[in-house]
Amino acid sequence: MNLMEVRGLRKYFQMSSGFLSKPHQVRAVDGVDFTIEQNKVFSIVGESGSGKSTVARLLLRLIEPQEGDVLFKGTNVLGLKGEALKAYRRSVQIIFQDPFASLNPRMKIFNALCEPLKIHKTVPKSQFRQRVSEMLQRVGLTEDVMSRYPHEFSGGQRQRICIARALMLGPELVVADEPLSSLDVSIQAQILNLLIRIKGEIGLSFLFISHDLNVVQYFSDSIAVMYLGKIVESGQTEQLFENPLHPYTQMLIESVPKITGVSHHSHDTAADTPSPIEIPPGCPFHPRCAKRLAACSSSVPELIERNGRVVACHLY
Amino acid sequence: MALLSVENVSVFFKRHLAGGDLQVVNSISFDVEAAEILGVVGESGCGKSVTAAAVMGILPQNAYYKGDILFEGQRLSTLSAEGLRALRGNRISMIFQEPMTSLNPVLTVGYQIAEVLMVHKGMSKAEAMARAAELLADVKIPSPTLRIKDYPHQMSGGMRQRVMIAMAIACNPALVLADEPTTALDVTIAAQVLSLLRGIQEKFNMSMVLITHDLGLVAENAQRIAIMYAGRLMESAETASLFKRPRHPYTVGLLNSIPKGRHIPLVPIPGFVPKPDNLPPGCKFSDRCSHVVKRCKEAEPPLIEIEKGHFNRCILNGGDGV
Repeated sequence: MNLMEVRGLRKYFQMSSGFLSKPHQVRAVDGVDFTIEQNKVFSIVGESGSGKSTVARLLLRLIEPQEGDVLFKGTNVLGLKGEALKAYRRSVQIIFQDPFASLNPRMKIFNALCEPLKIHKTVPKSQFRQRVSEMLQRVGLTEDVMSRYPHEFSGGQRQRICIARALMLGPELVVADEPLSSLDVSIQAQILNLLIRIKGEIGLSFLFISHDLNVVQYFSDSIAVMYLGKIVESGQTEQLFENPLHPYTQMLIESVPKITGVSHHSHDTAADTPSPIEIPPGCPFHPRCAKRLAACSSSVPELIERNGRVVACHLY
Repeated sequence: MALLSVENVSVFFKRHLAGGDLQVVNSISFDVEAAEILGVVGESGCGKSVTAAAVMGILPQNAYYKGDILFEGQRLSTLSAEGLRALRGNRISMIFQEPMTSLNPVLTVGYQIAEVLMVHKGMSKAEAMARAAELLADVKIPSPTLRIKDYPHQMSGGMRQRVMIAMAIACNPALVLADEPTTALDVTIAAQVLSLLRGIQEKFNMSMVLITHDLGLVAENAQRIAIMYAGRLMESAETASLFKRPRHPYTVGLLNSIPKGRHIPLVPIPGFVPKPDNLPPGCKFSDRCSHVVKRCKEAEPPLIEIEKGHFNRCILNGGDGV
């Protein structure tokens, strides 16, 4: 069953750089469609500026889109107000990238974890302590962390606390925006295994946002690759990694350093990711693409179905 | 003779506490041969960047090192401040992680490259600027004669890191210390910058110390690898030998922490990276090691050569199912 369905999502930011200059537009998210299935992990990969974090914020309604629909269990969440919006937010929670910035340094862990319960009044006050201690155990921490402050913990422990906080209200979907990228390699693996365990235990679904392809391949059921605000390819994890269709997906996969030694990539181009302020005409990837055709610089390729997945490229 | 010899180097931070100064690097020794890339791998706080800072002579004011650092046979501790300055940026140079904070925002990138040449090679400003443009072309920045007039904020992260590389190679150094040179960059840009760095390294026969937390990066680029943990060298070997048969449980743990594909279970290292003022007794990895035996806690094992060129600091020595 589809838990969340996103259609034609668009978010443009207005940037005015100065008094006399013309305001310009950043097309951060430019017509994105995807679905997240129940108890599955859907990942968005892309480089900085691809719009992946903006998508996360839009889904949580931290910011409002210009266009598009976000359907959660069939209801459009973009129109929700008041109690209905609050109920939606109980079902969809977020884990941020930086566990150092996402915990209030002056709040004890107990208070930080109770905050969602206080706001949403889901359980009586007498049960707060029990709830917090259950959740801490679930993320592999002991009860005694409750009375301590965030600065007493390492990055990995803080990320566990953030995960516990996201789970306090019993969400159905957790949006994880680069939850591992500020952690050490050995700790990343711990947190990743924790997320997988939690997913199995309480039947969670994840929207997982990352730039680390190793992690994405390990964790996700299906993947969308974003480039400058658009999804350029999406499909099941195995398919996408075994036979990437879009030249950008191929480039991403080849760029990851492999522990098997010998590098396979030859990147002689000096082309940088274009800024989302000046997205190239036609296919946004064409200036960096080794396989570009004449059509690539003039017409934007549409997403088409191909071997059970979708890809936006003139080659297909 | 090795180009760079680091012999029993320990780094301390001054503290006005009963426990005395805080030791963050504990008696590290390694050599870098001419035209060789040595990969130094470790997690945050393992002392890898501080070791590089000691070699470069840019430890913070409240830090000092003991031991010997020899560069081209010269003992760096005997050099005057003047002598060190003549070496830095000239014979040894460094590439930092964060290209935004390591460039001066109020000077053009051209001038920042030219400055190196004016100081070390005594070039005039005009000559140095012309050479700066050539260097920008070497690091594959398009239209270099225009770009030398750019300020750092006008460039993308990848471009800025290319400028850092141009500065580092301006005087044709014998040794480049690259401290996480691609960590702040996107994957595809990181791959470009690294292949550029490799190309330059091969062309000019430079030696390089590549400091990183990414085992994949050193697997692809380094000839030898040193694995650091808690300020110590845990294992070091030729790249092929290390990946074929890693001996230290920490190295094995690091390798097992990297996801290798769907449905291949991930075996993380339990616990967390210890702080330098709170290390366990005996082997510093013993509290996280799955092969720990009683002897591990009693005394710290020495770094021993178990095979030609393969050093390991573990009493189990790759046996007993490690």
